[in-house]
Amino acid sequence: MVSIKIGNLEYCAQLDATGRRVDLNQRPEVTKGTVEYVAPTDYMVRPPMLPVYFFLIDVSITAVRSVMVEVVAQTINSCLDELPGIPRTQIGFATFDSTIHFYNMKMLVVSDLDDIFVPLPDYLLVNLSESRSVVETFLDSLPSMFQDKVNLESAFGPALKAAFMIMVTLKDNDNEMSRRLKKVLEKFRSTDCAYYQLCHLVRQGEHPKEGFFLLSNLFEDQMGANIGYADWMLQISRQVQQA
Amino acid sequence: MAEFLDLESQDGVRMPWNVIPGTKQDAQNAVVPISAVYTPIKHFPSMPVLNYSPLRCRTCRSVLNPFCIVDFAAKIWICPFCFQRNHFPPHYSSISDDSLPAELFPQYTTVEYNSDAAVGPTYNNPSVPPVFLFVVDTCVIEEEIGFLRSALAQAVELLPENSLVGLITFGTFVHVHELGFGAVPKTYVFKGSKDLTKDQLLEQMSFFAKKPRPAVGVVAGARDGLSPESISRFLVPASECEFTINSVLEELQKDPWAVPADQRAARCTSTALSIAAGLLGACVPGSAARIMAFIGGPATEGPAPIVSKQLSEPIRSHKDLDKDSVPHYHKCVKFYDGLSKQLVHQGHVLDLFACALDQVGIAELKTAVERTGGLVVLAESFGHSVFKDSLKRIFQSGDYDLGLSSNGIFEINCSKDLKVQGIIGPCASLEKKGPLCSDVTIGQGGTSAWKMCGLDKSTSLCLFFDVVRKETPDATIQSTSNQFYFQFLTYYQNNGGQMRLRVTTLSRRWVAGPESIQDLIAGFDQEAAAIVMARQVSFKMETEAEFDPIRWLDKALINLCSRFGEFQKDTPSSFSLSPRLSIFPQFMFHLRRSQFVQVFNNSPDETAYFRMILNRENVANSVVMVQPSLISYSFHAGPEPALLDVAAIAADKILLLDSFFTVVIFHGSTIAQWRKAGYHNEPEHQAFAQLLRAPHDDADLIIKERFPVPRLVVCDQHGSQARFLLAKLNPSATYNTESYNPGGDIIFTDDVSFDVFLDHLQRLVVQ
Repeated sequence: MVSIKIGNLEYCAQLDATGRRVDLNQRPEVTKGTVEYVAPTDYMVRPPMLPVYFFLIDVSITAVRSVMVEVVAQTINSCLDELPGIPRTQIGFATFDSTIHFYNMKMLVVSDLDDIFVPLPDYLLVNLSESRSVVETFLDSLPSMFQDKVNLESAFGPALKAAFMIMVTLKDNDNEMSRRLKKVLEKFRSTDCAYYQLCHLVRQGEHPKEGFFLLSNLFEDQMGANIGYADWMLQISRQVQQA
Repeated sequence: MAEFLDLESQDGVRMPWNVIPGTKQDAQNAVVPISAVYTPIKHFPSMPVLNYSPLRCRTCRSVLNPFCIVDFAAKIWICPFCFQRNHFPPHYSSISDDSLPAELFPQYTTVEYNSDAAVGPTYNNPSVPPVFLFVVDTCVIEEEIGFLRSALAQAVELLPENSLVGLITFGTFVHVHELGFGAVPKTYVFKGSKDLTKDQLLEQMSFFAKKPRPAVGVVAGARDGLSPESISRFLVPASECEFTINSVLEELQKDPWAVPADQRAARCTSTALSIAAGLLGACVPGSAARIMAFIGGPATEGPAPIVSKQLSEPIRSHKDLDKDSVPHYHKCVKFYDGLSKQLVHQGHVLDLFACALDQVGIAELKTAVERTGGLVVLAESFGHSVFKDSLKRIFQSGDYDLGLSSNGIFEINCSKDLKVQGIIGPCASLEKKGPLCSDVTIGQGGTSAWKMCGLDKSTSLCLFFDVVRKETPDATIQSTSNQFYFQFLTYYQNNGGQMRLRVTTLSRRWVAGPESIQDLIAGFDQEAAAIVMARQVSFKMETEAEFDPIRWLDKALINLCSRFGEFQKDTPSSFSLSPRLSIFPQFMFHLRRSQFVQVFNNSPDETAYFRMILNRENVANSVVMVQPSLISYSFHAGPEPALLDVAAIAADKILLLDSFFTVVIFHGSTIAQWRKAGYHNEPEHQAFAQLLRAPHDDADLIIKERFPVPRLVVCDQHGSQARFLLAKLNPSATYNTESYNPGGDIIFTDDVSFDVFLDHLQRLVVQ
């Protein structure tokens, strides 16, 4: 009998007649150098983020005439079952030529490319399982929507920015914590703009104190880079749990 | 009195002075301005419509009229305005004493020329379709959205078959709906906080997606490179888009952006209207087009917010306006002034439907609506009958057709010794300067031509004139030229799409000197005078800082009575007025108590609303606004007019008050008790049931033919709603009065009664 001590847990297994562990085939950690554990809820600080897939589709004249739009629509349609994260997966679409077109039961055209904005606060991303038929109908009709259009321009940059704006948690994009974070970063940037990029604070979890601790830790850690990102996250997690 | 109504039924004109003071000094002494309230396209059953072009004086461009002197032998006519001799063209060769064209008939002082017929039957002139662009506010509660949805669906149903329809919805953002794109509903979205230039709008709406834009010139309409396909994306024939627009209306939702608890909704009214004006300017310049704006609350976003989003900041009141502590007001007015210029230039109309418990910004929008000749309706909710029935009235044809017309141009010619000071009314100056224009302006002045983008059968302009003759002429000259002549020309497109020119030519005798008092009195129209004073005092209150309307009105009344009344000096009891002037003090009494002058109890939006209606209605309707009509019903007699006095209230009477905006049915206390006891439901009390029914029937008649539809208030003596009646009554009995009628009522006010007012007037006049 071989005994292995893991923490406080003592686990043992019988040997078979040839001297090998009887559980050799069921315990990969005994025979493999690298393994992954599926963490149970006890080890999760928060549930995983919803998987989000946002498709930006070029519908300018080049894309339409090369049949790319049609192929893209068919391909996405055929891959819907394979998208990870079902049934929590969120999906959204936008098309672009000289303007950007968002979809929510209707097409919403945003043509101000110098000051791109998202036309709705909700419903530009939908749950794939719940809205499957709507998504499929949209993809089926997509090629014919732009068949007769003659539009030479392709506004990929603004479209990408718009997609980012949608995938960020829209409701919290311009929240109090984000504003405070920007103020702190702007203060730092005033002394050294080579570092400290401006950003939005996008919540990765659900505890409201996380943002607060991030800000206070950032302020206190003005020497910079004394600890790594992982240690930062562990520290915030610890602080949240203690609070 | 009756003869003034006869003049109105022939020409659509009411003038305070129908015998005109002939010199500058006489005109000043007359107190009430030399003016006319003219209804340009009033319906006349027997007016001749002439299917040929008018004959015009080659010098002053006035039109041949009954007051021209004609030399039949030489085929010459002499213009009464500039005395130019004009030759008749060849096709008038048969003209003679026995063979006159219609425009020379003495009784045809108002005629209309049909321009389309003049071109000839071979010319195919397809009528340009009218355009209705709905601009709908979605920053309202779900219930209001539902009301709006059904109202708009009904309006679309009632639209003329050949009209074009467009739809814009707005809240935080502006959504321009592409109704002509079949497969997928589509909208163009614009940020509410941004003000786009017209070029930006054209570019962002993909108007030049298929062909390059012209390098030079104003870009607008199909003739400038915009394709009909581009235009028909947004403006669609009503017959084709009923399904599409109803689908869009079904999907209409409250503005989706969250509003923090301490803030107002972000409502970008000014951006939406600016985009609407830009869209119409691009697609249909010069065509008959109306922006119909449905606004459910205050504008807080965009270039012209009337108030900030913070609920801690109250919306401006009259007190704020007086103190000039209004951070947004002047910027807003300036913005809408610019918008109104754009709309007038395009020939388009802005209508406003303001339905909210709070203000929406009518005071700031007043300029744009008035200059474009737009309609305005003010109600508390889109579910209120005032709004619903008024909207229905706009599209209703038949007996109560409003006669909505468009693309009006109004011009004046008048005798040399008269000059035009301006117009108070729904029109915009076309900046046509000339010798006809007076240096002293009032309202839209400094011009003799005005644009009326929108007008209807009862639209009335108040025209102000200046007499410039300085001296009394010799008696010999006077005998040959004691007439002033006026000619009003109105070009317009009627609601059938036909182009018309209406010509009204008037002559009025002028008199001068101290001996002319009796002649002036004989020609004085009290009702017209009251309305001219009402429009003038409203205008002055809006344009002159520190203006004291009560003092101004009182001074005018004292001066008028001093000049035209009969009295012995220092003897008040000797004072008397001719029947021609005897009810004028009463009009002034009620005017100074009306909502046009007393603004304390009303919001700036309400005051702007009342004044816009006053500035566009005819004399009869305006008189009702200033001095409401009161009818009394009782068992003892049929309906009879009652004095507008608290003494008219009696326990056993029903009163019907019509103040134009509100119709009040007021039950005396005994009548109310019987009604509550249900006597009218018993067979033996049929007479009582009929008595209760009678004022409702009369009220229905009033409501049916009026626009905007008045609010009906049914109330009882001592009830809270009775305040609508009490506010209008002469307070002859107050808590200060020592005795009053039993069963009657008193008014809790410190206002003076008419008797006291008249007593003071007499004493001041005879000093």
